[in-house]
Amino acid sequence: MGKRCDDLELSINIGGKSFKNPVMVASGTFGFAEEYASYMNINEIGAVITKGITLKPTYGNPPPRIYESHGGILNSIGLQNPGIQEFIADKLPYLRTLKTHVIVNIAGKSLHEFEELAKRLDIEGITGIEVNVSCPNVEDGGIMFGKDPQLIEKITSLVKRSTSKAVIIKLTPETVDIESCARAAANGGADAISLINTIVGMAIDIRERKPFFKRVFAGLSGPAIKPIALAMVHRVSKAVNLPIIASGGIITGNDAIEFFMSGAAAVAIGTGNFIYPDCSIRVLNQIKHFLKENGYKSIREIGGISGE
Amino acid sequence: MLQLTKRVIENTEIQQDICLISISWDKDAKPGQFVMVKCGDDTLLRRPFSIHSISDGELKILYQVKGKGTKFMQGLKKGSSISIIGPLGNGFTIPRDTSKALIVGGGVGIAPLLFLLEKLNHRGIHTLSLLGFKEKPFRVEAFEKFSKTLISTESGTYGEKGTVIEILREINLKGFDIVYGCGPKPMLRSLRELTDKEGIKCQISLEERMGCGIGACLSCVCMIRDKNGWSYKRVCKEGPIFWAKDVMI
Ligand SMILES: Cc1cc2nc3c(=O)[nH]c(=O)nc-3n(C[C@H](O)[C@H](O)[C@H](O)COP(=O)(O)OP(=O)(O)OC[C@H]3O[C@@H](n4cnc5c(N)ncnc54)[C@H](O)[C@@H]3O)c2cc1C
Ligand SMILES: Cc1cc2nc3c(=O)[nH]c(=O)nc-3n(C[C@H](O)[C@H](O)[C@H](O)COP(=O)(O)O)c2cc1C
Ligand code: FES
Repeated sequence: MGKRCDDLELSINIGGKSFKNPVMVASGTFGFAEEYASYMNINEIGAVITKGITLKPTYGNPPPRIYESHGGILNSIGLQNPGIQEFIADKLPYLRTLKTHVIVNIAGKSLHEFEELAKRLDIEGITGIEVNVSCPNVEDGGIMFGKDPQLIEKITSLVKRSTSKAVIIKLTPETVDIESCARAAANGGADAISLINTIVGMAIDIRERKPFFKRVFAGLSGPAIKPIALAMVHRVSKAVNLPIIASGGIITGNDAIEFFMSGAAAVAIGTGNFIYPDCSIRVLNQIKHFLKENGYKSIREIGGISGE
Repeated sequence: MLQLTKRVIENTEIQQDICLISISWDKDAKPGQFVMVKCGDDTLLRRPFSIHSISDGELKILYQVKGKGTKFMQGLKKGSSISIIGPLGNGFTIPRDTSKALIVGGGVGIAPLLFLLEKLNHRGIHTLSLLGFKEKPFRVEAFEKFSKTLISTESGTYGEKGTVIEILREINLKGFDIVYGCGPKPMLRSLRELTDKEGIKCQISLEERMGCGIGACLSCVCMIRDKNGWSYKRVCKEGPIFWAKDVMI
């Protein structure tokens, strides 16, 4: 069985690095990997993307932090993380023992913070840096970095200059012009693009007549956002010539196949990890099954759709 | 692997919207630990439930029907399969020198306390149980097997009228080495105040909305006092059992 699967060519390339397969786990849904060690063989997946790391430890938002809507979940974690220093001291040692790629997600409040984070992560045991540009830009008065192509380009080139790692720019869907954002990342020298992050949503406690979340708005993820993610991945794949790491409601192998066909090079499982802790392994096995059933030899053969 | 597909052995509604489900089980667990149950395809997130008891290859969950997930569970027939992750969380601590323990439960919050009571009984620790309900008590006979049990109902139909805190106030807490509690937040708050005042150790089981249940997503945090003031701790990992004096609810 194992041998047969191995006949399939599943490896992909991002930023000059080879990944054994295109299945990853999305930032913020897989902790620092150790949490999942007793549920699956983490080494079997293509890469682990860590929780977002900030320069200083971040407390995060007051609970409740999660809400289930129809087909999706809203989260308001608020980037709780131990900060870069503790990440390197306490979390990285375990990640270094893994026999798969580690991509560290970073979130800065300013250009300087992104630069600093990238520099400090230019160390052994890390393959790539995923730059989350969807946090509020405190310097420029509260707009998101991720909506402004000029800022995206600036951040990208700054991070690129600060590290030898593969640089992946994670775009937010909270923009009308995703193509311009993707082009900006490409112009800045990005090695890949990751999308989509969560979509802004909210819920109301009608008995209390109050927003469910103290911060009112929260991020929607899960199957509910898959069609939107698929469309955005497709648009971006037409706009730039960079590998795309797709996330947005991928729970099954067939979901993943849709994303590959729409133009993604890799997929990242997010919310799915909560439903089945070994969701990424399931997706990987289902992808292999689909490829074999349909006579494909390589994951690279399934990109593209006809009839456009 | 901690993720398991199990069989439903029995699933009965013991009173309106209060159900007891037995599931085939072959692992040990600590009282106070919980499991995450996948409630069919119409819900995404697994639902957390305390372990009510484990014996003879069966795990029992005592649950109240609240929304989509628990409604699905209510409909589970004998023999159907069910996907479970667990046991999860830390479980209750039983300090070495404990000789008398007080158990305080409110409503479906009595769920984890039966398993604890069995363990305390097994260790030869004397116990008294105080259980509070809205109108109609449930599972009292199971508690009575192991300890003297006092009941209150808010309606006054059974036992003392009022909440379980009313009975608690009449009890000399000094006679106990430790108090264990689980129930609605106001009950837990009163429990913390009363045990704090008397200087009695107290552990409580907390609830918070969960994503992963295994410590990865940071959805389930609550404020816990520590040497730096306070920090967010994960109910699914550092909890669900906390020392009452540290809990900021
Ligand atoms: C550690 C722990 C142990 C628990 N043990 C028990 C038990 O033994 N028996 C029992 O009846 N109930 C228990 N609960 C509460 C139980 O998890 C909820 O009643 C249940 O999740 C409701 O699901 P639902 O789909 O029916 O309701 P909905 O209201 O439709 O659920 C919507 C979402 O909110 C979450 N949610 C709703 N209420 C709660 C709650 N009180 N706590 C946490 N999440 C909630 C659900 O999990 C789901 O994600 C426990 C909760 C925790 C955290
Ligand atoms: C609880 C939770 C926490 C998340 N934290 C982060 C984060 O720290 N950084 C980030 O870039 N994306 C974060 N995300 C977004 C996911 O990585 C992913 O892009 C998104 O959820 C869409 O995928 P999904 O529908 O499969 O979950 C988080 C998502 C969830 C549900
Ligand atoms: S529920 Fe995910 S960390 Fe507790």
